[in-house]
Amino acid sequence: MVEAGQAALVIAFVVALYVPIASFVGSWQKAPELTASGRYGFYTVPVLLLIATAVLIYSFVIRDFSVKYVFENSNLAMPQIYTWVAFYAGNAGSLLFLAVVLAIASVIAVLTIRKRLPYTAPFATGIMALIIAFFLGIIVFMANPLTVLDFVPTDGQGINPLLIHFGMFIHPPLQMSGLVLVAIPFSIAVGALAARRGGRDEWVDLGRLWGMISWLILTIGLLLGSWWAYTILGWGGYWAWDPVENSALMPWLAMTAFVHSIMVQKRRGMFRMWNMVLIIVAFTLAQMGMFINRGGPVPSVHSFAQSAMGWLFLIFMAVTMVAAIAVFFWRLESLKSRSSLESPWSRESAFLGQNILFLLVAFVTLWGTIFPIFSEAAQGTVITVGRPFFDLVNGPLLLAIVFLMGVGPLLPWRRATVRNLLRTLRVPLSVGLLTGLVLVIIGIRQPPAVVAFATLSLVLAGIINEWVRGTRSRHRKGEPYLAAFGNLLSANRPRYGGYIVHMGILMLAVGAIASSFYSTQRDLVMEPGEVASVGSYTFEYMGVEDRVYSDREESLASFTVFKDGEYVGNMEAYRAFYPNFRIAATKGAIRSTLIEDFYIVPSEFQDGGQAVFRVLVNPLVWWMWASGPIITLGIAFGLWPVRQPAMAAARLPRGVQVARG
Amino acid sequence: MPAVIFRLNKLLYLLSSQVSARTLLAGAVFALLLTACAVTPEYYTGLDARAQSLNKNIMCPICPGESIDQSQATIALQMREIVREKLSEGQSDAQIRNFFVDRYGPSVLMEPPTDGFSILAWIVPPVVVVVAIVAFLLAIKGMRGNEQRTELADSGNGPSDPDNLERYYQRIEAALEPSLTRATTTGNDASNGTEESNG
Repeated sequence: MVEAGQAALVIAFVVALYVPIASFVGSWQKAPELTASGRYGFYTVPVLLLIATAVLIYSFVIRDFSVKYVFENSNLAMPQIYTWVAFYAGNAGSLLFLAVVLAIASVIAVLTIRKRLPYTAPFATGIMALIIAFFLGIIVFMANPLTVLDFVPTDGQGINPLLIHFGMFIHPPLQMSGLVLVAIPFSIAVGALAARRGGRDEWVDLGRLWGMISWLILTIGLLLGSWWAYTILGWGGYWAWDPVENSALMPWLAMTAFVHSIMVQKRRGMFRMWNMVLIIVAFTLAQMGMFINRGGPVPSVHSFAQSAMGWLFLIFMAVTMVAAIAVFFWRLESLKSRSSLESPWSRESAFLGQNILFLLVAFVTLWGTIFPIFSEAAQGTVITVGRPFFDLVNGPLLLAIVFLMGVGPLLPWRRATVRNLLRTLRVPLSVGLLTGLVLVIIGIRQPPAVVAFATLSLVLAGIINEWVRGTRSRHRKGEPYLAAFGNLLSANRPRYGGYIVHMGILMLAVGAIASSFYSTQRDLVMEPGEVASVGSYTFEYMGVEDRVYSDREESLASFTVFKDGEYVGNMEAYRAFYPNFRIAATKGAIRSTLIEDFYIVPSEFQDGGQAVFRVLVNPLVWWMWASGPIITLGIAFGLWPVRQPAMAAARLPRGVQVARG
Repeated sequence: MPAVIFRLNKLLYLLSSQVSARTLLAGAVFALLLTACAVTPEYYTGLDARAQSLNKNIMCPICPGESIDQSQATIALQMREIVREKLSEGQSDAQIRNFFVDRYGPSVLMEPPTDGFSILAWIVPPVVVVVAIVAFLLAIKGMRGNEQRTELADSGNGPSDPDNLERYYQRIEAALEPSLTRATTTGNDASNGTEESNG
């Protein structure tokens, strides 16, 4: 059984090495049979990897502790449902997970590009297979999840308790998938480049599609990670600019730049070189993310596997980057823009500005993340580059991005005259100014907060204004309001899907800004029966109950909570200690409303029931978590297939009837 | 301060000459709503606030990357207690920070110091920002310089040209749904310059 899985992994590795050779040689020698054989070989890779995965999961389910990975990541006490988490909880399993996800998605990608990009497809297939072969090589030679121990232990070591949380069912797999899926738009782009098709914009649609898919998965992964940190790490925050968080954020930033900039190529045939640069940067940063996560040089709370293998990732990153840059210069001639920038006051230049801002944030984040290494090398002391640094440096840059998010989409392509610039921007700008003014008048005195909220209102006003105007102009032509609004949105799905995503980003920004400027936090020492007030909340600490489970000791504190003197409910928070791992995990008590979260987290329990609690009132945090579904909706709306008129139909002379259907 | 408000008023007046009363009203309501959401009074200032901002700037020595404000380790708890004590003794923020630096070395601070080699951490980002802005402006200028050369090549009638593509889509729509398109095309013409995109 296990042997079958091991064999599947080895065969998959060999096949993944054959595919690029067959594809590249087949393309160069103009031997379609060879490229086809490569492609068919590629189709077997996910099948083989699924067999290996099935074997691993089966070993978990039957508790076969003779498999080393099962022994290390599960035990008899672990509920079966956590098999899914245990699958990717360790280093070897997570590598297999990455390989399986990439293999399945790559085959789907190959199926989508095969017909539409006949010249690019073999190269893209080869590149994807090379990347998969890298993972499989590491799995087969260094970290095989199906390695068998030469004895059979009676029980396993168990799963890391911090992973036993609902968020862990989704966050790590999404985060890993998001990172690894950046490989697909990268392969398509570099494949097109290698096939001398970079200058024809035929790869753009599919590159954009796969770029958006990986972007969405990364976004949701990041959101869920923050949510997990917020509910389980027990400090009342959700983002700390920790190296691992940063390493997941950087590819997201580059991909955000890419999915925007690719639109300029799609619409205007510009930024061809720039888009190549962006996707190469994004993929490099994604690999960097995997490297930092896997025994990288920077200490962090999240990294789950320490090993020398991190350096292999670094080497592979360097190799792919250099190779991609080489292809870039080799085919540079094919990347001339079709049209040129006509005016700095245009949507094109807003896009370019946005791209540069995103790359700047990515750079600052990278700089801050790796500066400790430089500092240690240069002067022998480690320097901490933490949250205050990132808040200060990235804060203004992010604000500038939000501002562009409001203004950019309102600018016309090509050029804007001063008059229509004023006309399109007058409503959002005046709403923004007005909000700022009102905020100052009512007593908000923190300049960054005022500017930030004014900017957010500017963006929101811009979007709503667009929707209202568009709906109204359709309504005037006789459509009822609701239908007019629906037709408006579906007439240009990429654009209006984008606006929906922007709405989600606004929600995210509102929550982030409000909770970083107006969070109230107190650390309280309380006896059972004691009552305390924080903000408009009053709560009584009812007492603590100690419970002993097979794997943990839990102290469960309960509270009765009142808001403005009115009873709103009971809340429970616990702190659990896992003796096997010597890890303590806390679960905060959170009462979440649209306006604010009331959050109690136990820091310490002493004998006799005395306890230290951290109590927070975090405004508007709910909106951050709610942005996830909105963003997903926006992407789905924007990507939903529309009937695409075949280009050939354009040659029909005017007036020819086209049959419906 | 009055001077600033006066200037703001003037600016607002200038802008409002561009804006109808109704938009202004809608904007005001909207601004108030948003403001209502945004206002949460700061309940605690003084010692608590100072302790918190200090805690956020001091790293927990045994839990990499976490501040003592964030960490739930026992040592972080004790360090928070020390911060509190020293504050109530009347020590300044700098004194307290120095106390921890003497004990644990410079890496105990969450942000890099502004002297020696570490100042690079602070200098490089703004320099890169300035370089990027210059590069952005140069790129825009450079791309505009290409205009004449590419204008010739760009006069094709193929549907790949965005303007033609626009008309092309409209023609497709017209062919497909004669009844709907009258509204769509005129709607496009009548509405503003931001409605033009289609793909």
